[in-house]
Amino acid sequence: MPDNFEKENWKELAVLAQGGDQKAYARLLNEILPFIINSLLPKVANPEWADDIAQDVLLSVHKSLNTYSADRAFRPWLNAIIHYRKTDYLRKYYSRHGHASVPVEDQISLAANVTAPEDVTEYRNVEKALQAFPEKQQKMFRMMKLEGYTAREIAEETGMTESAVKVSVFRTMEKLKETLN
Amino acid sequence: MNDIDKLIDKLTHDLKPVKPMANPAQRAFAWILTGMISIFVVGAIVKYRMDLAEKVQEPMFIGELMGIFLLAVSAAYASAWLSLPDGGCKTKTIYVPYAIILIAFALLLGDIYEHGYKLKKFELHHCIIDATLIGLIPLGLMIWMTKQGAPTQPILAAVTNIVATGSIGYIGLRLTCGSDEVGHVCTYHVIPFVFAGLVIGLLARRLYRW
Repeated sequence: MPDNFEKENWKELAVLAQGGDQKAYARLLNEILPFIINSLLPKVANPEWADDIAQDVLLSVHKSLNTYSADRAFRPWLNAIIHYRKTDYLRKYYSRHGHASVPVEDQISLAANVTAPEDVTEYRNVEKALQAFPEKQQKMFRMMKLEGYTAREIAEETGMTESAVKVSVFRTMEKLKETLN
Repeated sequence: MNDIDKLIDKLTHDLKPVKPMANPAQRAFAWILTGMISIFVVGAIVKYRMDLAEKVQEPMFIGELMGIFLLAVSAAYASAWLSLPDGGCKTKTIYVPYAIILIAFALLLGDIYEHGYKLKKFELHHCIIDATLIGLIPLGLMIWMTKQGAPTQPILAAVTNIVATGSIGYIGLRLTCGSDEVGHVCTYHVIPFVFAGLVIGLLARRLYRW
């Protein structure tokens, strides 16, 4: 978060707002707004959602102003509300829309449906790192970790023993961790 | 002027002075006091156990009551924190009651191992009614106090509320019920509160929506 957010004296403004000072309250809300939106933008796929959630957060700050106390820091209080409203918003969104499965290359669907688009890079890194392994090892790893096959099913498919499949997938996972770290 | 600017104007216009909530220690203290009064009043109505004078001479009995009282205090304090949006930051505070519960369950298992355990047939025993009488007002007060705040971890808050209320109920039952048999204690003094915790945990998001 940029440094200028740290310098603002939101704690004092919140205390004045609790006393009914409208000017201080307007200043507080206007100053925390960019902080709220900047906190949300990296965590949601669609920038419009950040605006919607920011409005929910402002309403929640208004409703719960009595729960803030000057003997505690302001930002953890605000962050907790932001996190709660973000989770609430996403829970409602996905319960309405269900879970969509999209290819990682589909940027439009991704923006509309994936909560954390920054993770896509990680998926690509995994795919890239996996290319370094022998084809059979790649196949077993993909079957178990990406496609959901059991070790027994893979053993039947590849003609290996179940424990050999587990060992191979485990070793692939360990090497992938090393490579990606 | 966009929607957010309009909203800020409206909220500013609607602002009324608000009194900050009392600090969690004060609220927990008030709640514990209510719980103790509830035990005292209901105990006087349903009558304390006949052998109470002898039981309070037993260090194990006093130790058990003190341990559960500590659980009630820690759960009440954790509940007071969990009614605040940033209460979850107090991780040590909010998990203390659960550490005590683990110890209590370990001791209970030890007791079961030592004395054997016969699960009683579940029925509307007078202990269930007494527990309800003892816990009703403290639970109502606890829910009201939590709803005065803005819990951001509603399930944990609700379950912790039940831990606090259940502890008060348990103390009340140990003072009023004459049975020390482990099967009876589990069936009628512990399981109903565990069940209440599960039910309220399921309803928590609805109950503590704000």
